[in-house]
Amino acid sequence: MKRRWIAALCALLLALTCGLCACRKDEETFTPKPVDGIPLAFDDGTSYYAWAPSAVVEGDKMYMFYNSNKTAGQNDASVALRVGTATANGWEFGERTVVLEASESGWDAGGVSDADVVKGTFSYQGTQYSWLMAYQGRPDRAETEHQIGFALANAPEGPWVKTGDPVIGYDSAVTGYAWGVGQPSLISYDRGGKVYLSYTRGEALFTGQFLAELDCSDCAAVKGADAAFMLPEAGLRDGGSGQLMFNNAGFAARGNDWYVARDFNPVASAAPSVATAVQVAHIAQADVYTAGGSWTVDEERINFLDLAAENNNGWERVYAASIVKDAYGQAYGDGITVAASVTSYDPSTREYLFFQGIVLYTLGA
Amino acid sequence: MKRIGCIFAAAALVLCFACAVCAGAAAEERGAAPDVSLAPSTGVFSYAAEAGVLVRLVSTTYDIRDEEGDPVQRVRFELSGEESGFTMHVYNPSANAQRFRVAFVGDGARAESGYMQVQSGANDLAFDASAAAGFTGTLRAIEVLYSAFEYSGNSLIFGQMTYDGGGVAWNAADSAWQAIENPAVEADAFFAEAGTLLSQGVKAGTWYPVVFSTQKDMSAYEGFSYYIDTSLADGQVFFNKYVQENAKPGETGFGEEWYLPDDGVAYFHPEGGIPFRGAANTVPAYFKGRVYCSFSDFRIPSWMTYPGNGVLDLDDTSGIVGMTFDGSLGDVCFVLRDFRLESEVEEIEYEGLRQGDMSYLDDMSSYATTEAVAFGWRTSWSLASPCEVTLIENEWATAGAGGNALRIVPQPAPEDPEPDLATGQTAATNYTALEFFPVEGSADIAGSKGITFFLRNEESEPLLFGFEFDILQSGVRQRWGMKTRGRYILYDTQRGTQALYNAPDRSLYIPAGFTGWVRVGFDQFENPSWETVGGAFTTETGLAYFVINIDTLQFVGHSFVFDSLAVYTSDAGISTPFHSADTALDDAIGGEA
Repeated sequence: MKRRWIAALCALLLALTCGLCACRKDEETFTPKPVDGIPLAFDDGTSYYAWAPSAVVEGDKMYMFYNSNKTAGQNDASVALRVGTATANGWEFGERTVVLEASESGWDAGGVSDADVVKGTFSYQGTQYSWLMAYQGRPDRAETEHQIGFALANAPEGPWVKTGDPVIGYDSAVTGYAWGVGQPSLISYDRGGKVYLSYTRGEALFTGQFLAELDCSDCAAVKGADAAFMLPEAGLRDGGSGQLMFNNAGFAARGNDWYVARDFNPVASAAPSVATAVQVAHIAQADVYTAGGSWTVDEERINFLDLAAENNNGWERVYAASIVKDAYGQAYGDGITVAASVTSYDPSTREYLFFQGIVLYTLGA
Repeated sequence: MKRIGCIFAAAALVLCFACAVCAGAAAEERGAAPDVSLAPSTGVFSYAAEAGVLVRLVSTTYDIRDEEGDPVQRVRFELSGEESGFTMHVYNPSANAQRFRVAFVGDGARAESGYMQVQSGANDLAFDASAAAGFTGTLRAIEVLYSAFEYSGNSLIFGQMTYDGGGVAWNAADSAWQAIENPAVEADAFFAEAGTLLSQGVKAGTWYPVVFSTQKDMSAYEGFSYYIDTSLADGQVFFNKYVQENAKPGETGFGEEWYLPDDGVAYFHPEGGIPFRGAANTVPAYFKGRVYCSFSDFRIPSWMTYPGNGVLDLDDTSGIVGMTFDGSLGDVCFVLRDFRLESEVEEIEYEGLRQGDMSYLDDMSSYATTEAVAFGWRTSWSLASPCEVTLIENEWATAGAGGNALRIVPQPAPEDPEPDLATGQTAATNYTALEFFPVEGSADIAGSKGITFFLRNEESEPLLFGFEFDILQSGVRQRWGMKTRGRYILYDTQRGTQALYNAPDRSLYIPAGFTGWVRVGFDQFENPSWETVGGAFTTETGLAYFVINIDTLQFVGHSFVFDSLAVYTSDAGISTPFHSADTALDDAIGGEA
């Protein structure tokens, strides 16, 4: 049923047999990722993973930031960028570049990921910047104690300059050893230095999606990080009978509404233990503060993303999505386009890390 | 030596092991008045009434053991006469015979009797301490020794002790009160000679007269007072209080009856505590102290149709003051004694504590000791998981919270709880039910917009904190609980963070280490599914109850600090660089709202 996957596996085995296993970058042999559904937006091959995309369009360029590894075959969590150009056949993406890496030490020494960017007017230590990146960092390889920090640049391609300490922190010594805060999503408030920052907070007994309203005009002294609003959950829908979990969400604005692409929970019980679908919904922006605020679901489950013309089952995992937006966080285009993570997996080991890729999907298209 | 028979009318005393709590000797406000207290009990009302009482319950302890090493409950009666012989009635409510021993305590001597066997029902026993081996001198006290092991769950009732020693009268000169016979309690006729027993023998729905005055002319008095100890009650105790006049010339039937209305006031002077103004006819559980009532607060109820002049004529009363107890409420245990007419009743003005936009329901300042906390906060439901509640200093004081605070630690569910007779439920629950009843019966929350309190999660793990409250609907309590995903504000005053949360599954999620204020709007509550009392939410009728519910399977031993329960009146909210709330939280709690 997974002919493409089997073909890819055969190719991989062939490569191994021929001693062409990519241990050094200059010796890499490109092996395409297996594809189970609609085509990937781009293919980093099976030495690099690609997931948790954030896509920003400015002019005729799409800047796709995503989680990747710097070194082939290594899980050294970094943020990569591909720049897409609009063509008659859709977006054609250029080469992959790593734009943000883990620090040598400190709160983000274990890896950086889940970056999102917004355009505006920001300063840091006397220098003006026009792009702000929010990213998730962790102190070691454990999937815990995540915090959110900032980086600044004057172009999406970088170079990106980290601003140091976390902006949205998580102190496990006080709050308890847990996942922490992460998965940031940005929308500009004024096309200047003020931004909405939505993020996931995961603690021992609780996971929720929060919103901070930040003045980042001076990123050395960000204002507003001491206040947070947990976003309403009414109207959203999950599968199963468990309590709804609002996490791993990307936001974009359109008019007076906010749109969200979020994981449709619960995640798959078998590895890869990620969501099998994402959900798109919208809410009046003013309602995120009110007791009665409620979401309207636009598409309950974006799953499989199959191509009817092809003989496969579609993507069995669709997760960690965002809404394609413009430089200021407004939803891009006339419709709602989602950039989502998808993956195949090895049916024997269920390994999937380097098979992860990114697709673009427009609702109703 | 002249032998004087003295009937101790009021020593209806129950030893009950099921509720093995030492009642202790209540501190006396007046030197001549004796302490009379009750051992733990259910369903028994007792008071010392008639002048000449000599019985003093000194202690109820388990600090002694019998020859088999089993704990023994000891009740000590101090005597003031010169003789060594006495008789005592003992009522055995059990269907089986029980036994106990008596220790004779003299001047430097102590001797114990052999086992005294008492059959089911009434028993008259005679003792002569001088005949006891090893006893010499004057009998000063007796101790009843009752095996807590052998008779666990049973009880004995001691009453009508006749002591041959004579004694001192208490309150004889200045008390206008006396006990009355109680022919209505036929089932407990054993106690009918004097004193009053309210127990299961009281028929449901009976408004039961507790005490009358014999003084007809009360015009020299502003009111009356009584001592009450409800520390053994499962909940608050409700009394009606009335004055009945003699019929005037031209009036038919009885004279006017004046009642202290339920929404009236009484003035509570707790032992060792701060006097406060409370509900007229409701005595909170765990109260020990004196209650003052003013005649000026009495009213003719609307249902009273007897003709009269509409004036309380204190100079011509009949039966004068009655206090009635609603037997339909079931088993209630309390001690009531030492009634006095008062020439002056000092009124205590209600000073609802306010700070910022908050009006406090309980700022914890009225509790002098941890023991006193039980007056306001307690677990009365036998099937609930208990809480260890300790009075502490709020070390994390902020504007609006400081001074006393409660440290609360949920405990495991009781292993062998008393069943809930109302519901028939026998199994303990793994939830706390730490309750708070406003001292005035219901708290004025008119115009308020939500509930707030100070809380510190002392653990490195988060806490799910549940609470509910009751408002009054036409005088009936109506429960309100948090909506699923109800929203609330957490203002961490230590970290300086403010956050709006959605409640997971009707409980507030309190992050580890959180220290600060919780605010929940009334619009975030709904009636539980089991609530049958109808009516829309209103703040106009008062808040009558607040209860903390925490899952003790998950959070047993989880320590947290609770302080400054209040309602708030503003729309204080979270401010950000993008917008400012109408009222900042700092202003709301800091006195500028």
